[in-house]
Amino acid sequence: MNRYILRRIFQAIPVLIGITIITFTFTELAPGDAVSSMLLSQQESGLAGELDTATLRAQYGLDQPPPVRYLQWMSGLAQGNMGVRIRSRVPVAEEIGRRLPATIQLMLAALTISIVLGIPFGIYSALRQYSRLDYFLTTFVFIGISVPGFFAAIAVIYLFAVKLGWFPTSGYSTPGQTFGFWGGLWDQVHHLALPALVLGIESTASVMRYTRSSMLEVIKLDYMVTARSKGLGQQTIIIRHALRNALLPVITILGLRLPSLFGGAIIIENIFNWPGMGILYLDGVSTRDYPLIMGMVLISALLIVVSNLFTDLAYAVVDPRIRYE
Amino acid sequence: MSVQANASSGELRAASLLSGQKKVQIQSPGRRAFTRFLRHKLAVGSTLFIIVVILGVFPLASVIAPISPVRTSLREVRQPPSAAHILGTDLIGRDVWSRLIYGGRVSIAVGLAAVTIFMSIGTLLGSIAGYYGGKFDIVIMRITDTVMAFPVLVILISIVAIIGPGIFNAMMAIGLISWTGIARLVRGQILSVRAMDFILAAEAVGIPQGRILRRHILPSVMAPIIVAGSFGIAGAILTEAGLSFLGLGVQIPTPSWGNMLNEAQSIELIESFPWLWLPPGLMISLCVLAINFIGDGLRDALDPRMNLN
Repeated sequence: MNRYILRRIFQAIPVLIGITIITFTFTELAPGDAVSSMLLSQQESGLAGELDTATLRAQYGLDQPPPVRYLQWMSGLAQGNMGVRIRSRVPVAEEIGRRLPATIQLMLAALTISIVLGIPFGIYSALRQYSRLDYFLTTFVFIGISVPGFFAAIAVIYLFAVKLGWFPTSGYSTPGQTFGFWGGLWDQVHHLALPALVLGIESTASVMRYTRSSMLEVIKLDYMVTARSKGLGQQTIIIRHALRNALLPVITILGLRLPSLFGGAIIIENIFNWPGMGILYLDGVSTRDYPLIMGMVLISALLIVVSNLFTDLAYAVVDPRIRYE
Repeated sequence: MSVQANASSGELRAASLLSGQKKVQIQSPGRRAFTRFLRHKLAVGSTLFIIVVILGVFPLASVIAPISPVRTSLREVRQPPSAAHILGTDLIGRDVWSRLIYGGRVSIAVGLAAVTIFMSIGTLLGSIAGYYGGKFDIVIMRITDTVMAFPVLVILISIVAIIGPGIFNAMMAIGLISWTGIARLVRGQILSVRAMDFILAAEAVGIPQGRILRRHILPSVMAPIIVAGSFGIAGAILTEAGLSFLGLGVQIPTPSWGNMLNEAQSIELIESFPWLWLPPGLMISLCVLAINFIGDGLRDALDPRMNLN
């Protein structure tokens, strides 16, 4: 098992290096660099000349060839320095760190919803194939993967927040009020509900679909016949034998959903004004704040690689056969 | 003597000779797939829907939407649907129905162009990795893993931040990012076909490798690639809509279903002017739904392992 873990980590290293290379290449391709943005106002008013720009460049090591600058950037990264935002000079790492929890919260909530709804309904669909609920659920699956997130968000806001008034239309918490612990928790959940629900639709549909097809396959296998002829009760059979094996591909699917959950979070955060990394990212893009953009790109890719690693480890824990490959 | 509906042509010939029949009904795999496809009512209905949409959006656009989609009229802002404007007007007086039709043109065109790009890249890389194997395989797969680590929207937005927004840039950006799934699929398919005997025979006879790849291996792996391609069109349309919604894809005043939804960002607009955001959202959803049904139908139709009669 430990060897498997080490092997997976080793395999992840070239990917991590590749991510830094790609991100650095993007930084190179972006017009302008740190010095030109620093001197922007002076250059425009003519106060900074060629010599000043060149001197500053040399001072910051920006006149070195790309491979050297790449190593400089990497060593900065190792110390947690991702540069500063162009206008406000706030360190990028700090900005991202402040917004990260909100986005993680949203993504985890959506993931939980997709597991809690998707797996039971997928099992039900498989066991009662062609029943009315099965057709309804399959239709939901198709609709879930076809409707764009932003449209679903607007429609859901219209229905549940505006017309019915059950949920707030946006934001992280009700402004201008202080809550006790439980009151604050409820307020948080109340605000989290709609965005997490909308973000979770596509994942729920995916999980439901793959749970259903996986269960259908597993039920036909020989060891299920053995279980039934042993005289085991239906529930024991389903949960202990079928489900355990059927869930294996579902774990993989859940891992694969993470990048799209992150991308979906960007759009959902935009619509619901959820104070996470998504809004920060869009803000950076609109102001062409390249240090911020590159920091976000790097962090999101790192997140994905790390969570893929965890998914593989979870897979190895659940399926002993993997450990011996 | 009865003959099974899905017997091979050779068996049919033999059976008909034995039973003394004069006429032989041979079905090519293509025709069989077509017949199987026709059995899926949803897929067939979706195909008709898509044909109607494409006809309306491309050749017949000026017929069914005579008002220019970019003509503003400040006297007629925010009007609900009426006789003059079938779906009402938007915030600066443009006709929503026209924008829907011409926006459909843009959305579908970007989707198709992006799909062509990433299917080509993915198939090429996947074939090289799968067939030639060895170092090519390792390098290409590492690159694929690395690109897959970035969330699509994140890297798409950063590309657009660098090269700027617009229709063409959106096409290129989506095409250059989304190839990873296809590459993996093609590689997997080729790996499983490569070990089969008929490929071994072709190599033994001395057919050059490029030719084997093109004329012996690729036809066998076509089916999943076609299915993935149709789902890819759906994904590309959704991605373009998302980009345009964020203001980073198709730029105003050119309409696209995505950027039409952009206008419905404030609560007041959502509540008071539903004709602004419902039509484009519904069109995206229905078209993508239809394409997904078609893809599902294609998958059932082209899969040779299914034994329907």
